[in-house]
Amino acid sequence: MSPNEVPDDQPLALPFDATSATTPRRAAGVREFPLGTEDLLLFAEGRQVVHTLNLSAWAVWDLCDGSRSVESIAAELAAEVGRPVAEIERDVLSTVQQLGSLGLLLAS
Amino acid sequence: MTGQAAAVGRVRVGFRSVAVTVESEAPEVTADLARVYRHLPAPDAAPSAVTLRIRASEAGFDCLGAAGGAVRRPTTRMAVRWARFQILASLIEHHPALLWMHGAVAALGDRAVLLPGRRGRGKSTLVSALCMRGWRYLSDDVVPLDPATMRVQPFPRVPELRRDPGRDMPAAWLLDVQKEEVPIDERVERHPRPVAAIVLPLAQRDGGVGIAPARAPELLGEIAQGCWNFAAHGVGGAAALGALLRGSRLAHLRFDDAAAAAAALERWLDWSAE
Repeated sequence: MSPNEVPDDQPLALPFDATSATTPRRAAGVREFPLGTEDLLLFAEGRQVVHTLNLSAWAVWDLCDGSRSVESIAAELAAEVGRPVAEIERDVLSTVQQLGSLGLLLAS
Repeated sequence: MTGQAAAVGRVRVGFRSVAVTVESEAPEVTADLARVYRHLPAPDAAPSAVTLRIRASEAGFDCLGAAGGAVRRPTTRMAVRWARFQILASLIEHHPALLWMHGAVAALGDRAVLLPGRRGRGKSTLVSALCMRGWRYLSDDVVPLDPATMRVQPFPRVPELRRDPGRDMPAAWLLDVQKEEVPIDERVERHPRPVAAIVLPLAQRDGGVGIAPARAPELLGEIAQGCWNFAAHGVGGAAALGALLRGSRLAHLRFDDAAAAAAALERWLDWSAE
C-alpha cells in the first residue's frame, strides 16, 4: 500500500517563472503549522502538498503578501541581517521560484 | 480416492470494536495468523466487519477479499502476507479518524517513543531491544495515532526480526525474507500512550552507535510518507503531524548493535530521572 502518491493528473511542479520584479503572494488554502521556532510546515489543501520552510525561507514566506517584489523583499531582509542585497536576492529568488512551482506562491 | 472437506479454521483479529475474520482450510495459514495476532484477539461477541477467505489450491492459495475480489498467491508466506495487508486495510477503513502510520512504538512509564521509517531501518530490531530492557511494547509495524488525544493506540502484532544474512542485501530482499519471532508476550502495553520522542533509526553493519538531535523537517518526510491515510486526513493530518513533531524530542539513531543502541537511547532520553 502506498498512499500519498500524487495523482497522475496533478504534476508536482507548476510553471512559474520568478524574476526580481515578481510580486509573490501566498496562495489561498495554504495552512501554516510551526514546527518549533525554526521550521514551518505548509500544507496546501487543494494540491495536498506538504512542504517545510527553514528560518530563511520562512522569513521570505512571511513577506510574500502581494505588496512586495522579490527585489523589495531582498532589500528588506538584507537590511535585517546585514548582508549584501545581491546575495540575499539570489536566495529570495530561489525560494520564491521553488514555492511558486509548488503552487504555494502566486505572482500578483 | 475419497476425501473429506478440510475443516475451516478461523482467526479473528480485533482492534477496538472492529473484528476481521480470516477463514482457511489450510492450517499453516491460520496457525501463522493466530500466532502473529494473538495479542489482538477479537471479542467473541464482536461481529465480523470483514471476512477474508484463503483456500488452498493446486497452484497455491486463492485469496478472496472483502469486496469479493480474488487473487492467487503461490506460497503460504505470500498468502499470509496478503491476509495481513487486507486486515490492515480493513481496520484503516473502519477507523478513518485515526492516523495510521508505519513505525514501531515502545513505552517507558507513561511516555512512548515512536520509531518511524521505511523497511530495513531497524525499527523492529530496536523496539525489541528496548523491550528486553523493560520497555513496554505497543507496536512493531503499525501505529494508529488518535489526533483527538495525540496518543498512539497499541497495535501489538507480534514482532519478527529478519534473519541477518551477514552481508548487505538488495532492497527487494526485504520483501520476502525469513523472520524470527521476538518474545514480547510479557511486555505488551494495553493503554494508549502519548509520544514524547521520535527517533529515526538506521541499522548499519558497522560504525558503532550514534545518536544526535534531528530537525522536524527531517522526520516529517519519513512520517508523512509512511502514513497510510495521511491524504485522507488533509489539513487535519498536517496539523496532527505538526503537533506530534512539536511536542516530541527528535533524534537520529544509527547503530550496528541493537542492545547498545537501546541503552544509548535510554541515556539520551533520561526519562527515568524525571
